[in-house]
Amino acid sequence: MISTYKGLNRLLMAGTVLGVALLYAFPLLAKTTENPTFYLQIVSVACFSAILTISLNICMGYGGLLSLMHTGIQMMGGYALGILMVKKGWNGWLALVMSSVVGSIFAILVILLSLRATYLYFGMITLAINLIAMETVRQGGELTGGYNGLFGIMAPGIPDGIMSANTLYVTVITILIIMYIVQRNLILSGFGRNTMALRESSETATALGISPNMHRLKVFAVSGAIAGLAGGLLSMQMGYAIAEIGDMGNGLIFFVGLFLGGVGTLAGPILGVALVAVIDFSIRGTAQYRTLILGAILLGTMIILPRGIVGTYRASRYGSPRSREVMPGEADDYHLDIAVKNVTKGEVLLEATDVVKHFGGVHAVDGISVQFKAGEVHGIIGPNGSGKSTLISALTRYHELTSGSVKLLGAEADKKPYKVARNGITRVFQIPHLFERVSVLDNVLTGMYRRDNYNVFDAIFRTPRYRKANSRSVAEAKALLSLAGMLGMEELAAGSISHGQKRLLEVIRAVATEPKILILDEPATGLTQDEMHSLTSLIRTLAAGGMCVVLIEHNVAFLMDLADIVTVIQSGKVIAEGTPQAVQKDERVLEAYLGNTDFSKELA
Amino acid sequence: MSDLRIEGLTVTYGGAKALDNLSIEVKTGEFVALLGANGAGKTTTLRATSGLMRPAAGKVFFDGVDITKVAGHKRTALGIGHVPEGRQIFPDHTVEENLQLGTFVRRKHRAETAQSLEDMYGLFPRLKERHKQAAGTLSGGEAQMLAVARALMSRPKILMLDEPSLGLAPQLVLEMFKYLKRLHAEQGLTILLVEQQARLALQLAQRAYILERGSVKIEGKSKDLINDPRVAEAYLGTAS
Amino acid sequence: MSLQIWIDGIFAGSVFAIIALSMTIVYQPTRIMNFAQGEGFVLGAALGYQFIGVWHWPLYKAVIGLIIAAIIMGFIMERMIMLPVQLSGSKFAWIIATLAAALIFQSLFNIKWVNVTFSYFDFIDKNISIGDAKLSIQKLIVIIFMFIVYAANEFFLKKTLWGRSIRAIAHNGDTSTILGIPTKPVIKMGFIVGTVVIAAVGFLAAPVIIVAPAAGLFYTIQGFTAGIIGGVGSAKGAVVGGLTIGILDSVVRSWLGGTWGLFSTFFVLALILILKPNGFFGKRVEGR
Repeated sequence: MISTYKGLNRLLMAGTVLGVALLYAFPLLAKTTENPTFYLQIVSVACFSAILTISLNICMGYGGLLSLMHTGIQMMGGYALGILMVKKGWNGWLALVMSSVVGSIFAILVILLSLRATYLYFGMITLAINLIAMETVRQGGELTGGYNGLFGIMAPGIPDGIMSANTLYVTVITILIIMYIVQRNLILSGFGRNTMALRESSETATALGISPNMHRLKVFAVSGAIAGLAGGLLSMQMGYAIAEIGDMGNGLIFFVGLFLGGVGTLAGPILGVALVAVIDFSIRGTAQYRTLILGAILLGTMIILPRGIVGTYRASRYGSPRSREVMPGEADDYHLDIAVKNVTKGEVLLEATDVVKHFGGVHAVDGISVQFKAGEVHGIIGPNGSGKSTLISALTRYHELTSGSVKLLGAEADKKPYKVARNGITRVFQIPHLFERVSVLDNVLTGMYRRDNYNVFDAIFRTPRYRKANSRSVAEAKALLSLAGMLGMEELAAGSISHGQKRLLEVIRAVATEPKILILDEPATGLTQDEMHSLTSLIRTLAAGGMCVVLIEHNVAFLMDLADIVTVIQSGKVIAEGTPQAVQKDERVLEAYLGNTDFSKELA
Repeated sequence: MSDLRIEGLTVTYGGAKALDNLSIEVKTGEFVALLGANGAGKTTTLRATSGLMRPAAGKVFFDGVDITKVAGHKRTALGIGHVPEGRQIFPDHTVEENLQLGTFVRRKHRAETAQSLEDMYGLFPRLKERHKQAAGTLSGGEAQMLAVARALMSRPKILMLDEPSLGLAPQLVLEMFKYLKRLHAEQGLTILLVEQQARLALQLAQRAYILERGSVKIEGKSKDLINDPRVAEAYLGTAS
Repeated sequence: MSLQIWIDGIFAGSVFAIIALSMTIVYQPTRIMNFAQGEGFVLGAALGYQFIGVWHWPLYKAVIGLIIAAIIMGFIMERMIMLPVQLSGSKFAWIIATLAAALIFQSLFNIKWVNVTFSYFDFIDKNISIGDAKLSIQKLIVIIFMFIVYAANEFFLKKTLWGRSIRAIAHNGDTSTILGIPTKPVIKMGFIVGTVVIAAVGFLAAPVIIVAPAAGLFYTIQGFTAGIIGGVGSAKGAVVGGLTIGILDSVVRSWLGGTWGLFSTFFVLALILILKPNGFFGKRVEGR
């Protein structure tokens, strides 16, 4: 099986090289037809569509942000180019750069306006903004050419004059290839991982220290920049800019290409658009049927191939467990230092004092004081509804306290959850929150995001700074995986591994954030005996290195071997605290779990 | 007849086995308790029985009929009533409307359902007092009563309850369990009770199963189990 | 400001309100905002044109034909949309599915009725005068229809068991199932009734408005706008939202002319989304 994929890989690489060569050679081929400009234009338009689809892919496919305004951004880019070139006499190349900048600014403004909007409403906002933008340019009078649009855009020659059709074509192809590389470099970096993290689970991403608003802004800004550029190129090719470019109806075609090729994949946009272009070309005689056929393809894709072509291929390749033999000596290369820095064993890391949290009339947490110390495994148990999870949420600031204080390393804990995460507490939730469609290795790497000291531009251009940081992170991630016995699974989609392995992976990812305090919410649920042993030894290793591991558990048997100290909570209060053995025998604890014996008379 | 028989049921949830070859039985007229620590599979058992979860393997029989492939809403018409975890009343509907929604499966029999409503108000006078109020304004105890009453409105042959004592003050818990005992004794209602408070449940039920990790660990008559140290172990592990 | 402007605004507003109401009917059990809903409006207009304008059927026959066709369209639309939604796990499924359905129906209308706009004679070619404003009976019928639909919807949802079940499903699907309420047929009913309602208003309004075969998406957007301003999922909101944009459009157009009317409605939409995303009467709901 592996060799089949290796062979397929080589085939795909060869195919890509061939495809690119063909694209560049196309003008020569076109010359042999009666109407070379016509054919060149078809491919050019397909390229613009591909660029726009790439930008849609980044924001929707990878970022999970619904945008119905990408055609509008494209239109703004085109108008920016047109106005600068025709009305202000700017150089064409500079104007093209500006079309990208304008696209980005437009996108940023919209995000800033809609920070509070949930997913659906954000989409609606983009729809409304799109309509407003179209209407605005129509009413722009002299500046925008009003309803008729802005004419007279000439493609800039190199170094000056007017560009020939062939040169324009080559430029467009080159820019498309550059955009693909930009997409690839961004996605295969910390930026891309964070983007996907936000898409999969905003809560988990926050728990890993990613600021959702800031990052969404960056994603949309990049997407807008590419869409603006596509618009500038389009207007340059067509020679004019007009409001209709922004019409959402035109945009539906991009959705077809995106979903057919595979939303959330690198090659998907290009493959999809290429296919749509081919289909478009073959049905060119019957224009009215075009929409029907494209609509049917879109619907069909959703039903038969919801992941798209590339997506389905990737799922079959990376979605099922493939064993990879660990080469002898491979694991030895990765040395991991898990000692937590700057703490002494027994030091109080997190302290809750008289914490109270009310929900309406319910006293979920009713005055709890507890200390969490370095190097300890601290268990928290209690019957259902006792307030354990609420307590932890209060400590990690997912909930605001009604009263009481929380001190982290001696200072008042921050109010925002992602800041708390950055300050040394990492939480693993009860329900698996892995980034399912992301690879195992990438899941772990996302945890290391805070140590990435490079920015967007480093990622795009693969600067030495980026490369150094990346190889260091990858080495550490692999070391962590080997600690959990999961070396060899790096490329698998996290959703495809067994439940127990997912648990371990989550813990590993949390450890990658270099926490001082690791909070695990019922990690043993659903694990086999073997998996529980792996988890136990992992936790012991972490605690030995100085970490405070907080375990909220129902499986008290699991805790018995592991915990140094156990706090028992019932009805929002601490009812017992001590070693596991002491707690097990405590009458109050037994009562809390098994119930009061007094009712026997009443119920007789 | 309202025999419930679950045979070899396996249910997976998110890759893990929530139920692992589970087999339990509730005979007509019995009061059986389903106990165990959290995550043991109690709620999953009820949900699989009501049809909210599809099993990967195994069968569910009710009244002798194999209902494994029957859709959830049809099982209610067959007589399976379920009071879900967390009560799940409809907060925007009034108390009376909530109760009426419970009669959906009997909607063709107007006169009878009207009578059931009156009976229910007789059983739960506090609900009658508040019958025009939005259900979201009820206290925890009243909401629990409403949830039980609503399930009873469909005239179930077997009533399954998921942790009805959760979040209720002890006095209310007592009141509610008294009602259940009456229902069982006077009307012969078959009851399957999921409870975390083991001792309480054992005082009510005739028989009990204790689940661990998706399958039955201990089973027996309540009066035998009530002093069995293995029950405490199931929750708190062995004293080492 | 002349009364005529207000009357025209109320009429347009009623059309938008009914569209928004039909969307609410679909939204209730599914939590889906149907991008293809406007195609039902075009169906009504198209069939009115075809049955009455071209084939000269008597009114009662045309109405029966319309209802049957709308039921069929609603049924097909439900399958086109819910099938992908149930099969794929993606967040976007419903948006893409509804968009695809819109595309497909729109192109079918374009193919069948090439170069046609759907206008045919008014049922009742009379006007009533109010002051120096004129209100055609046809328009009055539409306005009355809106109230009928609103009242019927409210009655159904609040007073009948089925109606309450729909609200229950919207609130908690699992609990509804264990009470014996069948979710799948209810969803089908939602699509069918929604389509019949919107086709009816297309049928009634087309004599007055000029509807083109490809206008579906435009009316969908108007319906969304009305629904969001009024509050997604609220029937009262649909009416208030619809009337708001109808009147706003009419008034602004009389001041500033041309497309400023529409512009102002989108502006209000954006404003509401940013400041009060739940609209006037909506509750805090998460879409799918």
